[in-house]
Amino acid sequence: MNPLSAVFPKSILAHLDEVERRIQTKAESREPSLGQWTSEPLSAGGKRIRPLLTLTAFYACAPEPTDKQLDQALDAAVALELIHTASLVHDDIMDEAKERRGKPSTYAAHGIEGAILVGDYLFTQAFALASTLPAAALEMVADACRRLCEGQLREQSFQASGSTDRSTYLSVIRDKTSALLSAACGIGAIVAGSPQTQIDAMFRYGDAIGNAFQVLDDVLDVAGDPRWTGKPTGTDYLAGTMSSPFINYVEQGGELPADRRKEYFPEVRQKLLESGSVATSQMEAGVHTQAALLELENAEESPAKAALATLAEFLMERAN
Amino acid sequence: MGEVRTILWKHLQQVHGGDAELHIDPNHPTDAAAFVKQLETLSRRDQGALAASYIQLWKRSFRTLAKQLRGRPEYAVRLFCHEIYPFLTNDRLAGRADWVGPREALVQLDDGLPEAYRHGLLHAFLELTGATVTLCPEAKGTKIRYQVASTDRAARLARDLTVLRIPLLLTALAAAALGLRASGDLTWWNWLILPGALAIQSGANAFQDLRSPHYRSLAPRQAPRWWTWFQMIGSDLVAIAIGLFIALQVGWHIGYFALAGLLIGYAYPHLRNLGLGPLVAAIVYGPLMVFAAAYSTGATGSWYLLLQSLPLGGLAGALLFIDDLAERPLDEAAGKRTLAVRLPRAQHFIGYAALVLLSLALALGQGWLTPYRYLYVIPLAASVPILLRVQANMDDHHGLAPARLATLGLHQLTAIILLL
Repeated sequence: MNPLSAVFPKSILAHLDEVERRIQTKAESREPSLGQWTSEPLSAGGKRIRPLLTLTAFYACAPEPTDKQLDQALDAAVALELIHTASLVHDDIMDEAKERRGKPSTYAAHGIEGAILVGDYLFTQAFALASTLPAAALEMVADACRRLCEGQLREQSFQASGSTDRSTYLSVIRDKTSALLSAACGIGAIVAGSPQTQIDAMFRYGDAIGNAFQVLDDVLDVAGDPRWTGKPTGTDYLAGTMSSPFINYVEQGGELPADRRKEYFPEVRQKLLESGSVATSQMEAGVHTQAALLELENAEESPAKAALATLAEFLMERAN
Repeated sequence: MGEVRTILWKHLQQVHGGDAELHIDPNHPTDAAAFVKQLETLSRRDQGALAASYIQLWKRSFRTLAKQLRGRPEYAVRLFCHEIYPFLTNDRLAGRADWVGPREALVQLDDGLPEAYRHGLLHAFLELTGATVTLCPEAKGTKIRYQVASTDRAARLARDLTVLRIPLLLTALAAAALGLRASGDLTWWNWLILPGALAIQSGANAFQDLRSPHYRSLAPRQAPRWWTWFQMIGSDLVAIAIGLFIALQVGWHIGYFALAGLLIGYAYPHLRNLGLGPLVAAIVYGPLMVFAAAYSTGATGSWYLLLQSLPLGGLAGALLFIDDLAERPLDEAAGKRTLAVRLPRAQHFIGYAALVLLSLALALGQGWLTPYRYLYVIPLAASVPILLRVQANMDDHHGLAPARLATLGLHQLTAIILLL
């Protein structure tokens, strides 16, 4: 069962079957092995948060849409999920990751050439779909993809420099994590035919929940319990990533061991907790959530708007 | 006043309009002067209302923490002054709680933000506790008076008893009484086992308090450190004196129990961190203390005595189960891995319910052949609403507090019936 089913209205969740059907259709290829390889990461059990966000933002802006608008919203939802999956497939090549969601990654299963082809194919299929959307939506999809690439590159140089510059950190998380979420919400508003102010508000809402999500992920990577989160801790520390708690710690005058060894992590974690750096990051995530909730203030009351608000609040429940 | 987080300004513009170009990051510390200038265009009343509206927004982003504040104005005062206000003003020294008592507190907040807004934030934050709050600006700071809602008093009582570790004193006393009863020898010196057990427990409580990193931070009613040292040394001296006297009467073999208690007491934080807290409590406040008391009063161990000690141990374990649950957020934040942190909530409840029901069923089984058999049904029946309350409040520290008190009640009632 999708853990987000408690957040989104049934009327929106009901569209997920159609989204799945369209996603699988887009995996098809005249070359059977490419179709098979492409369908694997698409069926690996993603939560479909981007399609759900697109549809919920869409319904929040157009509670009674026309069939054509709904059809476009579904296509937009599918396009964003294809792009998200493509970015993960390419990410796994760069990270040389063997597993994704507990299964062999495309890179591990079909080699580097296979994974490049699958990613490229997914991007192409996504843009073929996005080209049928209004021009502003197509531009937003393209911009999200540009930001994904820029964010990836910026993260590498940020990591290599060992910098603790907060604005660079924010720009990395905005581009890497929030770009597709903000595009999902913004495009939902565009296909609903909303005025620019509403499109901007939805875009910023998506940006804010993306930022909150990433900062919380940073917190859980330090202070979370793998049994609850399902993820190991200390991965940012070992990778040399300057995540939110580490930036707070260094800004307070704390020092981190130059040599990031696994055995040092428990001690570092304790220092981050005792210095209040983790608590400050939690408060920062809370502020991003508050910003997301503020963006919804001017939207008309509807089950979809309530779901967007609940989603923002639900994110914070992961860590407090 | 130097800076404020952009979110405060964003919120102001959302509620009252404005066209200032704000930083894209709501956490970004921005120059407070322009924010204050816009704030001062509002009346004092509107500033207060705006601050209250921001706290409501804050509450939505920290729902679990907001629930934890219920009935705890002392905690809220400290949290606001030491964490929230310094964070919002990006100044670690912007807030200070000079003194926090059960009904009043004196705090200092940096006065860069207008008083009406600043006090509006503080007032609305403290009202999240459900208390009635009044603020009185004075020359030496802001005096806060608060009165906890009557519906929250049971939860507060339970919490205060827990802070003072009264439940553990009572569980220790019950176990010692059961051991004394087993010997049947009511010579005057045998009664010393009761103050002896209290002294051992009191010393252990003080020892654990002094080792706790949270000492007095969240429990203003906890005694000052010098008193806790005095309590530990005094209690241990009394316990040693009684122990020596008893050893002279019945033999030095009771030293093994003292040694076992000492080792477990020292290792307890580590064992709790391994998720063994309730199990250790079940052993210590069940078989270990009952047998120690029995041997100290001239009796010898028996299978029947072991059987009698198990319900008390089981219920003491259940008490620790529920305590662990209430302290889960704090433990989790401190990186501890207690049972409550390790187990999903549903499994934690099953563990608690199983301990309570098995303990009471075991007591009932023993009591069925006695003339008091129907008395044993009372705690079993009383456990049902307690279990329901625990299940309904697994995530609500405040709602759980009366259930903690009730679990202690079950333990004490069962002990009294077993003593009959």
